[in-house]
Amino acid sequence: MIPLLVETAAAQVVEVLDPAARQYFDRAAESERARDFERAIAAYRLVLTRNPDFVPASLGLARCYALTGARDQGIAIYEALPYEADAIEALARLVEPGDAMRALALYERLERLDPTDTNAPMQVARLSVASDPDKAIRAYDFALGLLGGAEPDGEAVMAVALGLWDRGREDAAADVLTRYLERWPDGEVAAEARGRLDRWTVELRARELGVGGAEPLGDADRKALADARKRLAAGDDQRALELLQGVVARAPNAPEAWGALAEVLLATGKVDEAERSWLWAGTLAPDDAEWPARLGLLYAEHYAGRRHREAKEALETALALRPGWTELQFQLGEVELQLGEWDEAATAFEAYVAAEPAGPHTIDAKKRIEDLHRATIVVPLEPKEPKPIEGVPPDVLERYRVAVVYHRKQDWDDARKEIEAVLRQAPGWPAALDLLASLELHAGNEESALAAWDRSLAADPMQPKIRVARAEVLRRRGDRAGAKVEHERAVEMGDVDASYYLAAMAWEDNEPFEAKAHLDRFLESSTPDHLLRPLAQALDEQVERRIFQVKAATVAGGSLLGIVGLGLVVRRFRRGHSLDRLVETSPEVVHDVVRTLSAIRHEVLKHNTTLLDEVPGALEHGDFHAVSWAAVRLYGDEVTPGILARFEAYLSSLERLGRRHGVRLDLRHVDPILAPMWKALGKLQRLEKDLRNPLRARHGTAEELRALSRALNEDGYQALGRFLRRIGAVPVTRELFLTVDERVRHEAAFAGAELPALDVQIPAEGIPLRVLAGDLEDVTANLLRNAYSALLEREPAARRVSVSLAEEADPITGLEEVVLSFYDNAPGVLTTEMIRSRNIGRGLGLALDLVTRHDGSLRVRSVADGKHVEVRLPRAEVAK
Amino acid sequence: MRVLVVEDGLEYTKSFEQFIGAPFEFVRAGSGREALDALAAASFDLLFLDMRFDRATELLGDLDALIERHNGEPARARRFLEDNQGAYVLAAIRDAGHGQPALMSYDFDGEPRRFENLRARYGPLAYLTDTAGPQETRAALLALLSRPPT
Repeated sequence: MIPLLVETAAAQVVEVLDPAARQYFDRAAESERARDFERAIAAYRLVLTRNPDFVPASLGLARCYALTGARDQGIAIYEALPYEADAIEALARLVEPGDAMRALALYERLERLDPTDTNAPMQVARLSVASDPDKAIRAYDFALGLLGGAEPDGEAVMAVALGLWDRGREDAAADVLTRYLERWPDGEVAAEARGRLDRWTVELRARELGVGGAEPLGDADRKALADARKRLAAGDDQRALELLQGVVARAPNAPEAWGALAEVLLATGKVDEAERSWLWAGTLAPDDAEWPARLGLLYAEHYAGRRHREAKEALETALALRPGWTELQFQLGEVELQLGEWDEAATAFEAYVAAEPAGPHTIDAKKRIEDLHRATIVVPLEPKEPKPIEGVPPDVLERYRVAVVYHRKQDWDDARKEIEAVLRQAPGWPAALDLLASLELHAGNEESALAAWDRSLAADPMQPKIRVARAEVLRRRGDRAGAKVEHERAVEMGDVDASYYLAAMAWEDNEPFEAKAHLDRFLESSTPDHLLRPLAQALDEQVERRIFQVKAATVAGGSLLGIVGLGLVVRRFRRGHSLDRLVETSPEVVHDVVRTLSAIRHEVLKHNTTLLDEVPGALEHGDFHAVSWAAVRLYGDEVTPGILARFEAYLSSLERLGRRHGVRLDLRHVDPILAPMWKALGKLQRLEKDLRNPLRARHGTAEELRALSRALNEDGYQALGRFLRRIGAVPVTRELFLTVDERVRHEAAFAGAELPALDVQIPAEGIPLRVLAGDLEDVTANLLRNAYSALLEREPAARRVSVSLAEEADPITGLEEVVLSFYDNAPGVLTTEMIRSRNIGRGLGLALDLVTRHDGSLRVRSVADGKHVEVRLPRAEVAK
Repeated sequence: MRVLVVEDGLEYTKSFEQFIGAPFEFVRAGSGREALDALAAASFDLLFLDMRFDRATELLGDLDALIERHNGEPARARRFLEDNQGAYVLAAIRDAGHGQPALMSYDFDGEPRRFENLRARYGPLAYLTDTAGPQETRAALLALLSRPPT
């Protein structure tokens, strides 16, 4: 700007200055360019002596004063030129260091004087961002518009972006830099902008985390947590939930409490809430692998593939925190398989097989590896403000958060740099030491990791998860005694996982009874969705077999009592029941069961798996559009869940029903109807990549689909139908009414009363009703009891009571009903309205409830000599 | 052959279009009311009806009468209407004088008496169980078309 002024002034000289003044002006300009400001000042003054209104000389003089430190003199000259744009701009620059608001006002004045000036609005944006971010954004956009595609002043851009960031306008700040980079990817400040954006991403994530506030549970809460787990294991979800809500209310910074709460929420089908609780647990304890692991499995198992990316990320985070967690390695492989990331999946499975040559998934993992290597290239496919921590300054906490984010991004070097800086200022902070241990572990420095954990545990011994992690490292290094001690300490602190690890160690030590004791504790305290549960159950089976052998050897010694005892042992170990058991023990659930199974037939089978008949043909005939279309129906999309997810939801709802009635269901493994369907749907899920990318489908997929169609559409559908027809149908016979009548008559209330004979007008062969026998008996007993009570007020000889039966077909729906009519001629009033409004006795109310439960109705029809209480119930049909 | 598919979703129509195709042309009606309008406006050779309509906002049927029949409980009455809407639609179509053969998607295997009640009143009528795929549906549609006059 300054040279331009000189040039401009020189051009004007010719017109307005006399020759002498012109000579002085030229000399002044020349001296200024030569940075001989003293001479320039003298020459400018001479010009102004001869021509006081010559603005270029005033500007030059002010400029030179300012440059020589005579700031006030310069300002005075500029202030005397209130309508000169160059003077205003120069004045703004001069005053800004001491008075930014005045500078802002000057740029705004400049904007008004020269609306085409591109620099003024940019400076307004820069200077107003601290006081008025919205104004700054407007000015910035206006300046960009004026520039019309020319690159803006990089420093101003950065100043605006940083100012917005500082004012908490993160999105707007990122937007400024993002737009700049999109438009000028090689611009003046492009590199800085990129770096800044990366850093902001990290900081935002760190801020979301709000990490570092974890606190251990007190004894009372730890006990409550253990109680809650037992309640949950026993199926008492509601009490478990209440207990845990109490714990998190009292100890909101205890990750274990949030984690346990998440388990309960998941067990009760509240997947979203479970996710939030685990996120929060992970936020409180970012160095604990358990929470990202659980989140990863939640994403993988409950969203039918829609959140596999997040599942992968979470599982990788967990593995970074606990690299020896082989189960997760396998699950990661499964997720990557579903994502179509074949190389990564193969690597994960290979890592699993290497770590677990005889593990529970080894056979599966080897098969996957084989398949993957055979396959051609297929490419388918609450935050909270951080809590201040005593002794940890806020800036250190901030750095810790950044370290956590780097760790999650697997940027090990930056994570280490940050955490080392944190530890320089807070050397004994357990959270930072635990993170350092994790980094050391990842780098293969087990000694250093153990040392870091030692320091951490010295500062805070109540870290059960850290003890479990430490124990597993010790075990891997051959220090079994040390590992056992650490696991036992973790168990004392209420850690559930440690029981499983102790069981595994006892099993390895050939101590089946000790293993069994640990497993019992684990299975009693863990929820059905616990990560280690499948492993524990598999181990439990092995342990049981071994115990069986040991006991059998004892029995072979000749003890009959031993056989009985063995039977009891085996029975005690058996877990989970089929739906039959639930219906047998709690007949009142029949209608809920019927409704859910009907929904499975309708929502899972009817509308979806019937497509399986068509897809193989389409696949073989190259109708890939049809196959892909079917894939969306089967596996879902962003909006609609796939059928496996729907099926899972129905199973969960049945399992919850079971828990409410004290029956633990294992529908996925034990139920003769649903377990095969579950297995078939699991196989179908594994074909997802083939159907979504039929061009790359593997050989044999069509045949597999046909087999699955048979399993689901024929076997599954028919088995469901048979079950539905079997449960809840009872023949209504004359004997049923006579038996109930006999019972009622002998009740104490009717002792000595002269009751009329019940006239039963029911066909001898009976009619099947869709109702439970016990419920129908209760309805009958209550209605007869009501009638007899009312009849006591009438002359014995005149008392009449009867029950008759009629069949009716609904003319529109074709549905048939049976109308059971209970007649009596007792005095008194009873109307349908009284029944509807519940203005009735307890017995009649119970009858109404039972009838309603079976989709029936109850009404009163008055006749001249009495009333008919009519019970309508659906007629059961005999299937073809 | 024009088939009016009455369903509250798009499942049947889409899969029929995808897997059955010619000589059939499928036109969807999302409710009983839409079905009646479509039949009044154009000619159809066959009807295909789903039974359960739990996504339609407008249902045919006398809700008040059903509430009375269900112990005064509107929720149960509404559910009954949803569960059996296909039958209500068929009844309304027949009442409006449309006699095209109808194919219902419902497991009448388990309720043979009910099916006979409906066929006696609203025939010509056939059904497919829930697991029937598109090709079975195609065969059933062709069979309905070529049925002997009754």
